[in-house]
Amino acid sequence: MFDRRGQAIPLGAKLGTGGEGNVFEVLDHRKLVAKIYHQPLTDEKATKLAHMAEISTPALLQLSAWPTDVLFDRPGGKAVGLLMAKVDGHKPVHLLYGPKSRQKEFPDAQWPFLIHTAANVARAFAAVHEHGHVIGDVNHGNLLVSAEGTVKFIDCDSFQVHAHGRHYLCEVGVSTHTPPELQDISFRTTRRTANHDAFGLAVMVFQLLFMGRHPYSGSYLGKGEMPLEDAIKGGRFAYGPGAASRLMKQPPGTIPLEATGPVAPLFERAFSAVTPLRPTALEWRVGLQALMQGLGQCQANPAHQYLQTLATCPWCTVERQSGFLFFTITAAQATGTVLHLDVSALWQQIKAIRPPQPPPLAAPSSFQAQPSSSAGAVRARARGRQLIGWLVAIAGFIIGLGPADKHGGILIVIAAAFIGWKIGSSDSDGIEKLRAAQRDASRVYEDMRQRWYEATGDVRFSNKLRELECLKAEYDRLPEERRQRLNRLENGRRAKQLEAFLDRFRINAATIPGIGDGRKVTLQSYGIETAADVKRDRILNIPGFGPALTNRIMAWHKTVTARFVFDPNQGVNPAEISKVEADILKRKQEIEMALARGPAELQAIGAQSQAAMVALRQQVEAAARQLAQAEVDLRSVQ
Amino acid sequence: MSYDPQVPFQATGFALAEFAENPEPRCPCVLLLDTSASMGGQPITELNAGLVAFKDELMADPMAVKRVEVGIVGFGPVRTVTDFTTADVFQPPHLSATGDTPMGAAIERALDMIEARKAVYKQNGVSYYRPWVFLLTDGAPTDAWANAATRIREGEATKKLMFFAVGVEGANMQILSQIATRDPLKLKGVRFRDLFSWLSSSLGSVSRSNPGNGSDTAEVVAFSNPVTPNGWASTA
Ligand SMILES: Nc1ncnc2c1ncn2[C@@H]1O[C@H](COP(=O)(O)OP(=O)(O)OP(=O)(O)O)[C@@H](O)[C@H]1O
Repeated sequence: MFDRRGQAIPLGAKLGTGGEGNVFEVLDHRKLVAKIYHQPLTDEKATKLAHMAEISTPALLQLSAWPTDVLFDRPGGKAVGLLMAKVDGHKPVHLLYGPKSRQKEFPDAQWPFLIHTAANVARAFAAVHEHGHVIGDVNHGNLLVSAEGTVKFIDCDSFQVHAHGRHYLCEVGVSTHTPPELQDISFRTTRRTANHDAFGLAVMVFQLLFMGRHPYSGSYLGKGEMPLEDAIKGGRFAYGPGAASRLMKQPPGTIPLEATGPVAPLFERAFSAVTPLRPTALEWRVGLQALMQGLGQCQANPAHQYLQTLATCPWCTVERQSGFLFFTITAAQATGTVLHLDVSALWQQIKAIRPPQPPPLAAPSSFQAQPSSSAGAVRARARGRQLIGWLVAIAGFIIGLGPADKHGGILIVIAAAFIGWKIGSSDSDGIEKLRAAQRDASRVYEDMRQRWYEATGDVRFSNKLRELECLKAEYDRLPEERRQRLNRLENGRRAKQLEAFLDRFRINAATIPGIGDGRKVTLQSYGIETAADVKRDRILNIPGFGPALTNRIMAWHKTVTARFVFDPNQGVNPAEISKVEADILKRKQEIEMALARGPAELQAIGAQSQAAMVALRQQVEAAARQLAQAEVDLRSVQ
Repeated sequence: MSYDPQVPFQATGFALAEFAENPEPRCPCVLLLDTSASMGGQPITELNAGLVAFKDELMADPMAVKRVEVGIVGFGPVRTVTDFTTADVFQPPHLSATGDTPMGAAIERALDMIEARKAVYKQNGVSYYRPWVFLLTDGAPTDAWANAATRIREGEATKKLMFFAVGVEGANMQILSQIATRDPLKLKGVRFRDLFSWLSSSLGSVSRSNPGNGSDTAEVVAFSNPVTPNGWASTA
């Protein structure tokens, strides 16, 4: 291959194939690629490419793979291709707007990213139009998106180009992005306008915002079929308040048009049957930016962003309706760097709260008590009685040792001693009262002491703190837990694939020696319908199935299993990953909430015990003093 | 003939996840595969290998993966081997050859499946291309096939479907041409892989063309001609 100056352009590996040509690497030029057409170019097309190369601008080169040179089979020979900048790190836009492919190709993309990309698409259209060109063949494959949501056009040689006073037409197009007025018209002879492009742009913005849905794809309420092209021609936009009057109903599981707020009227204008002027690229940009500013995060699922003027989150609704999770909670959202709570700061705060410190309890021994007057009276009475007792005993002794009968005398001495002792020690009443007083005082004091310990919160505080410590430990383990659960999913892939594989082999379609239709019916009635249900124990439990028959079924199961080939390219079901992420996130938020309440709860416990100390202190001291008194009193009479 | 297809139950207000995750217009294709006893041996082995290659080739085309839906009806006896699934979910079955050739009933089963599938598309607000029925046989019908032929002619005339018949060695090409409106093709040897490679690239082209079952876009899409010295088919 040779360029316009006759310089040789050596081609490398093939990068892609299209309807019109193949795209190759250019050796020694990592930033260039060459497109070689399947058919040699007409003079018209060759001139178009040469003119395109001449009128390129930095802006066009930045937003597209604009042709930079024409390629010839020999110097000065037939035009067979073009040179253009290589587009790296970009993927076709349909991989972004299709929810299933998005999970794989743009896993972190949520609604704001889609809106942002749509605004960039509008910017790219605006730039092309400002140059006087028209894209013409707007479609899902020739607009590429980067990981940052910036976009680039490829296949620019099909653009309608305004160069050197001429309009080179765009001769192709796809019906899904073609406005009503061009639906049945030949592209080969039609000069297109920015207003025609505006229809394709509106479709693409709609697809980005509505999870890959086409604005005219809905349920037709009239009779018969409603092909997409006819729906476009008839202006049968399937969304918005006027849809029913157009005999259309939007598909189930899609967000309402109102969910797009300031963009909704633009869609209505773009998709009505007759429209003098569709929204321009600039209008889209302004509308999309306004929509973006109105977004807020859903309380239930941080992956959901929606217009805060709505009463409820539309994503929660459509996910409940379809059972499909449109957005994946990102790792950042799951591990919390984006979330509002700074747990380590929170933990510092918790550790800094000092436990309540109840002052040492006043022990009864610390009170210096004097025996009370009542105790003194008891003691005086006791002394009097002791004196009488002695007197009785002494009197008995004198009488007993006197002139009376010897034996009788001894008895009298003993009796008098007994009576005297009895009298002397018999003030049981008074002393018993003192003893009871001591017992009561002791009980009251113990009770108060108990209440003091409970209420001054030493225990409550440390219990709460221990609970928070457990939560914090669990919180720190969450990333590891998440990793392990995702690993388990990954490891379960093989088993799942095998299960799905085995499930395709129905028993009643299988030929198993000895297992006729009758036995198949029996197996089915026991829930054994496919190879996936076959388990030795289960079959042995079925009446009439002995080891011999069971072995035959197991042999069949084995041959089927042997055919299974594990497909490592088949990934884990994204819905299951989302579920793990959602579980972890939920637990994480629960813990964060509990930890966030922690400082206040600990402080509350502190304040409560402070109040308890004030309230109980006097009572406890009184009880201690009383006990001290009772003990002194009791001791004083013993 | 008036004919009312059964529609699987779907509670109102609810959507099927398969269309929520991928709302691209669908291009349904039923493979009507003769699995009668005469297909035993090399033909059925090659047919099975061809189906595996078919999946792989569809997977290599990012738009075909999203849009082409494959369903398989085997006959001898008639059974639905695979209900419509997109290429990424499609698991090539392992067919074995037994029984006779109830081709008429099999065709009617395929047409019923398509009608039911179209109802599901409509319910879920998803557009679709003109459905394809691709018949592969090495024999002649052993049942009544007049009604099936009438339904095919009707479908073709109203542009509601595209019917292709391919005869393997031993097929009664005479009857096939009475059933199909398009000329039936004859497979060279057991070149099932080439056939499925052609089918997947043709379906790929269709899936990149304009949906709209009422228009004749499907006719406009240029398929590569399989009847060339190197192609997999010859005319009868
Ligand atoms: N500038 C580029 N840099 C890298 N790869 C490119 C570039 N342009 C095209 N390709 C690759 O080559 C493929 C075919 O390119 P392109 O769409 O321009 O061809 P085409 O023949 O015009 O196709 P179509 O059938 O869409 O008309 C693209 O899908 C893409 O993978």
